[in-house]
Amino acid sequence: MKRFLPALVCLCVAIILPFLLVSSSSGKISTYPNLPAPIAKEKILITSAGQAVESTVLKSIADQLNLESDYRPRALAADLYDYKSVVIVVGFSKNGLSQTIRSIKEENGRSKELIMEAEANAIPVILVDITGVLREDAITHSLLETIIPHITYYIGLKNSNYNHDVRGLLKENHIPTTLVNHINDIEVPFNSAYR
Amino acid sequence: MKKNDNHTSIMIGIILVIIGILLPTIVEGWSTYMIENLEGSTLLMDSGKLVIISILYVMKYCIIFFFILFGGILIIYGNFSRNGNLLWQFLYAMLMLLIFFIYNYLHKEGFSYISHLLTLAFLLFVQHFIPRRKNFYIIYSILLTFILLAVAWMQLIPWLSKFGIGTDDIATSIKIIDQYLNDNYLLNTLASLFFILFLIISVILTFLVYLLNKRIIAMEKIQENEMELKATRMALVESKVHEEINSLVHDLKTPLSTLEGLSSLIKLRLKGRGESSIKEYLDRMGSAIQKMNDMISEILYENIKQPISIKELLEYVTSHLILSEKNIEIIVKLEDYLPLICVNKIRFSRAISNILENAISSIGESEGTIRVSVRRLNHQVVFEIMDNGRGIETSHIHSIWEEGFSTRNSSGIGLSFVKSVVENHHGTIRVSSVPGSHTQMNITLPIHEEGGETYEYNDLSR
Repeated sequence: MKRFLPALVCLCVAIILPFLLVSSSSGKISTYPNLPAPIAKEKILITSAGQAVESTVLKSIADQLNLESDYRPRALAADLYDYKSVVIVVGFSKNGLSQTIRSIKEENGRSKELIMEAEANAIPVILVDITGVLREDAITHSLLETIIPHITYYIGLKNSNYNHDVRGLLKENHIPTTLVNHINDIEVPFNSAYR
Repeated sequence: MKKNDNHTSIMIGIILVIIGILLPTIVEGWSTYMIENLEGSTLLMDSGKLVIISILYVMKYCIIFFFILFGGILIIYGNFSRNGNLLWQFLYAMLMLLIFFIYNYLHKEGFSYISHLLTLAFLLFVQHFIPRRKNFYIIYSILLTFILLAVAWMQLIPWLSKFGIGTDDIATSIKIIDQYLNDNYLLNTLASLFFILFLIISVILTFLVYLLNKRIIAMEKIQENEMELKATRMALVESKVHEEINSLVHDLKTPLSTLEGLSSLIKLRLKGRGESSIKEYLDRMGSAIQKMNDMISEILYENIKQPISIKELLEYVTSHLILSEKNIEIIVKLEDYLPLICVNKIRFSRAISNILENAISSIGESEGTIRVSVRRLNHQVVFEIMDNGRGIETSHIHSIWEEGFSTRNSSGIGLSFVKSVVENHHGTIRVSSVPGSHTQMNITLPIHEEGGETYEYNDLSR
């Protein structure tokens, strides 16, 4: 039996580790099932902060809702002239970012410039986080920290752990928030922002 | 030799680990293809593409971690000679976790440590059932492939995400898109199915390897026992044959005694008569009978030794050698005033003959020289027999004394007989050889001390 000790140690650590990593939610937050009145207009610029490939999901939802939109994951502040609202899908992807010529720092800077420009031009910014528990890394969090103070509306998933106190940040900045159970449930609150 | 093998194994291991770590950079095009198709899959609502990307992801995962985990086993086993102790197992686990940390740090793909720990646990468990034989690495690599296939599909099971499994970049994207397209029904079914399938294959394969190994061990034991039995039977037969020969040789003595007696009787009858030539013939006949008697005694009793001059011994040996049709010259060089040696003439001559026959065979059909020189060294006599034949392979130099060892399909008892005869005469034998150049045999014998213990023929003749 002694010879199986290293295997057992690895197995035990693998079993215990998930319980150690899961942290409780940082507190309650008032949420809307959907917005009572539209806050944004078409044409929509759907972009990504962190270049996660699942940002395309928002383009697909927008198409299904017949919302006029462009999916430009690498859009710059200068591209905003043609749009009346911005939807940012947050989530850091190393593989997605390697498709661009930008570094993480540059991607963070691009996102910041984009929302600053939108704010300056009174263009509403909707932040969507559909990654839930799957992308709770430091880079995604730093992007959330950069973007949240400047957004108009936040749509996220209920199953997020929010290790990094994202809920506190939303509360602090009085951002209207909608949390949904599944990605497909985003359609209703997203539609409510426009219609 | 073994140390060099270990170094090679460690070097190959390090190279494989480095390849594994650098592979995502090398196959970046593969990642680009996956990202592009994931986008296409979402926009076209195409689950088929998602399945293809999932398969590509599994392949990429398996290749990367196969290099790392297999490289790791080469590094650790290279050092610890596969002895399966706890130390190397822990070291392997620690080394792998360190490499996974470096990998995650360099590529920032966020591969789950929980999955790595589960892989390591499974690998460390199954490796106890893999026989530590020449096919160890092949069996290990096959099992590793199946385990990695199971773990790679496990990364794609969406309901395991909440336990921290499948947190890497591509797996996350695939699972999120699957949630959007199929509410995770597709991957929860497909990935779970493949995970279970490959896990079962790994377990069955391990079990089969274990059973096969047990069977091979049992077969080997049976074979070993059979060989031992065969050797015992052979020894028994040999000893019986030896006994028979001894008995036959011994039986020769009876007619010889009769001949000796009859020749003495004829001599007595002829006494006083003037037939001197017949008397001379009878004397020579008696001497020949006596000589044959002595030879039989030496064959029968190996401890019978007599003082003999080296010159006489070597003349006796060389006179029996057959060198017809051979282009070989035998040069005998004896030091002046060599002392007598005390040997069993027949056996010792046979031993020297064996060495000379080996030398002749080593020279073969080509032209060659055999030099036999004898000199005195303190209280010993040294026989040096050198030939310029093809020599002995370095790897064979220690095996030539073993009974049954032969490179010429012969019985392989010649040199073991030589050694036993020399040792029986309190001497030593050494061999030195340069393949392709020469072979030299040195036999050292103690010289005959006057008054030393020797057997007299007549006393022992029976």
